[in-house]
Amino acid sequence: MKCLLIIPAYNEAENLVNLVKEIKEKAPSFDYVIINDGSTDDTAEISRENGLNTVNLMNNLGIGGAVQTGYMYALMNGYDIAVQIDGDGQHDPAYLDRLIEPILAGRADFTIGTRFIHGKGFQSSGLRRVGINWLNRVIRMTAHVRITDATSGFRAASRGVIGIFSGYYPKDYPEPETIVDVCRHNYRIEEVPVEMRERNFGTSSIKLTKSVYYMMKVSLAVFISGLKKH
Amino acid sequence: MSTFTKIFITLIIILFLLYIGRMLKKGKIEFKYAFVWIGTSLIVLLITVFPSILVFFSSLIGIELPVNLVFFLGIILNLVITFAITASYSKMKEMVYKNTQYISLLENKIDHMEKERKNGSEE
Repeated sequence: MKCLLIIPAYNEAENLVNLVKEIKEKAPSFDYVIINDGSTDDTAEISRENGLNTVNLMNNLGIGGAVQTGYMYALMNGYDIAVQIDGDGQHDPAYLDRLIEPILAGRADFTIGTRFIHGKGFQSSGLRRVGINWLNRVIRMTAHVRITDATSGFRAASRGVIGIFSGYYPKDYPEPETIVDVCRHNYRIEEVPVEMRERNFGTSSIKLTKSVYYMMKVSLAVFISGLKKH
Repeated sequence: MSTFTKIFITLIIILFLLYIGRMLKKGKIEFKYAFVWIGTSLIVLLITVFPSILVFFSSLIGIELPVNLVFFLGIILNLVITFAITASYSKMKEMVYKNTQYISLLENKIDHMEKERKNGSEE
């Protein structure tokens, strides 16, 4: 089984070297690819100096476009499983084996690492929990699948799902919408309890001023995605 | 409308049409989009020369001041064009994304191939 880690990075140069070191220690069976999303800092130089496997996007495409590039990379290079992991240290590579286990066992095609099943580790703040619960409900209504952490960016995709994501991936705030896309193609989803850490640095891509847009966009996107034909 | 105003507006329209013609000749604007502007210009030209057309249509729809019909049609046309631009912009964005992604992925592949070749020639 060829497994790939997709690490989207925007201006996180100093963090990447440590993250790759951590991956090699905790998950040595994984290959990785860093998607440098048109960073304005020296991410490209640092990754070249340290010999990190990096795809340098010429333009800043945003998180959706960057992650999709990772899935395209996985497809081009014949990977069986692709796992998305944040570059900001929120996701612990120690959980990778547990995350891909349902796919390896043939129980699922797509897994999502969730903070909320065991309730351990960083649990996110109050208002954000309300938003996440709302999205979980919208997804349950449109796709008839029970998800506890619709916004989790810690997820693993099998070959079929890699193909779907390479073809279409939402541009901004992609996570909830992609769950419905996966369901529509009749792939099986399983959630895996993980612990998440607080970000080492950097802020969530969801700032308070944008949260209203976020909720409207994602709710509408999930709804529309549910309307698309099989 | 005074004769001076008529001549003035007609001149502007003719200049605009000439400008579109030049853009088309240089290939800076697609015919598909140029037609909208040529059509609009010709309609405005027609109304300028024969304002009675406007009066006729206004009374037909029940608009008291003919100038309000001009505003109404102008706004509608603008909305249609803006919407069309939004749609084509979305399509463009999709293309730019795909281009960026493929070029960057190919660049990564070339890097790998060059590294392999270098390692191969050293052995």
